[in-house]
Amino acid sequence: MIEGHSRAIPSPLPEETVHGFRSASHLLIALRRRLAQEHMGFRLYAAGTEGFLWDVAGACEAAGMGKAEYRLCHSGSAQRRIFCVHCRTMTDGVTTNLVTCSGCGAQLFVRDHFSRRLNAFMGFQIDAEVPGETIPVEELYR
Amino acid sequence: MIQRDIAYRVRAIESLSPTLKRIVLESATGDPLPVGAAGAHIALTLKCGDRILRNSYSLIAPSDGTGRYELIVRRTDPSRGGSHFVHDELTVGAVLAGYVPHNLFPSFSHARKHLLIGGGVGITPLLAHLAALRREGARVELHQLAAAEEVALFTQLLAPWAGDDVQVHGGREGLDLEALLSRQPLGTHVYVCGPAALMDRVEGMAVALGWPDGRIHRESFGASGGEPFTVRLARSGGEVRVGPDESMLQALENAGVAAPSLCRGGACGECLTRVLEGEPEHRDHYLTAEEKASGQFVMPCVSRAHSDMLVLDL
Repeated sequence: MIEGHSRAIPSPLPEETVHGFRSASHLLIALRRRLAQEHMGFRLYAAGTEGFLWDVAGACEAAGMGKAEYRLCHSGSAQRRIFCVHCRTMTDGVTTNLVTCSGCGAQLFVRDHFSRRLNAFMGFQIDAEVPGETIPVEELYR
Repeated sequence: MIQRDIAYRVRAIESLSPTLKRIVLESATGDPLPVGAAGAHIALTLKCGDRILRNSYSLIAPSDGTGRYELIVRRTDPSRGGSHFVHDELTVGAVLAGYVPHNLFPSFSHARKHLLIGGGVGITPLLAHLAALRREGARVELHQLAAAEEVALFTQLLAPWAGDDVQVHGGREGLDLEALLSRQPLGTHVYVCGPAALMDRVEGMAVALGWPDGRIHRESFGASGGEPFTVRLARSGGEVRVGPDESMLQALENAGVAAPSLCRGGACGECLTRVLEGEPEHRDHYLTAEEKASGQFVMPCVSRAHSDMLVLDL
């Protein structure tokens, strides 16, 4: 469970079977270490935002687990992580159909094409073919 | 078109024990033999008196470029005739008709670890896997179950790969299967070959411990005997009696019925036949549970009948 900030150290939760973590990164480090010790028959269930779920799935696959051995359930925000196909920078927390790349500054169109490997949606420059031709900005992924 | 039939010549026969013989085959025509990867088997046509048997045997070594296939054949009692023929009549230089290797028991290269479990002569495909996996540097562990008097023999066969992760256990109770399957790391695949009871036990235990489907692999040369029954051929007419010691496929072949087949072990699906009447007794690993329950199909290479009569669309 991700608790945030320093509340997680020490674990604020009394039961030993529930561990608090400062952040998703903190949890994923512990998860990878834990999976390396686990045995066949183990099952993992994760709930959270899409980016978190696919980070967990990546840790599971890296540990040798298959799709039958983990379950993912989306909850919370539908905001997207965008991979800029031009400069390869990730831009997190995107809720709109257009976003400025945090790397190269291009106006990216947010596609529905999702890469499990990169754990990100693809973004490409909206006016790459006809400079200046763009579309209105809308909030689509809250 | 890939050539399917090959003429094999017996290059060598070595007696390993009173009931086990190692057979080395080479091409009878001088043409190079196709590669037989670890887990592959070949089918040989054996003329035993007035009967013709087609038996499948696993290759005990990967045959990449060696020009030879090696098998181990157990003399069984009672035998359908094949093993007695191999043990008592087959001589060096004899030529046998057979198929090119087929592999229905391959290893999975993305596995983090390979756990091999053999029972008796079921060690044969595992010997090939062990050699190939060790050569690739893969993580592998082998457990062989053997009758007490054969522990020394199997230990000797495994001597080239001796180590803590290669163990021979005497007797049925020699191996704590539950403990073994419980301590395997994530990403392990288990491969079992041996008597059906052992394979069922490993599969049942692994499933009970939560191993997912695609991680449990079993070799499928099953026993074919059972209660006798009759097959009626709806298309070509006529009836074929299936005796207690022969498979439905053998009975059909002996009656001159052109029935397709490949693995002869209920795994490949080649012999799939439509059932028009009667209740099949399914012993294959090809049909899904739903297809088996529907009673509409049967795999004649291993399956039989609960009813006295089975009407097939042949």
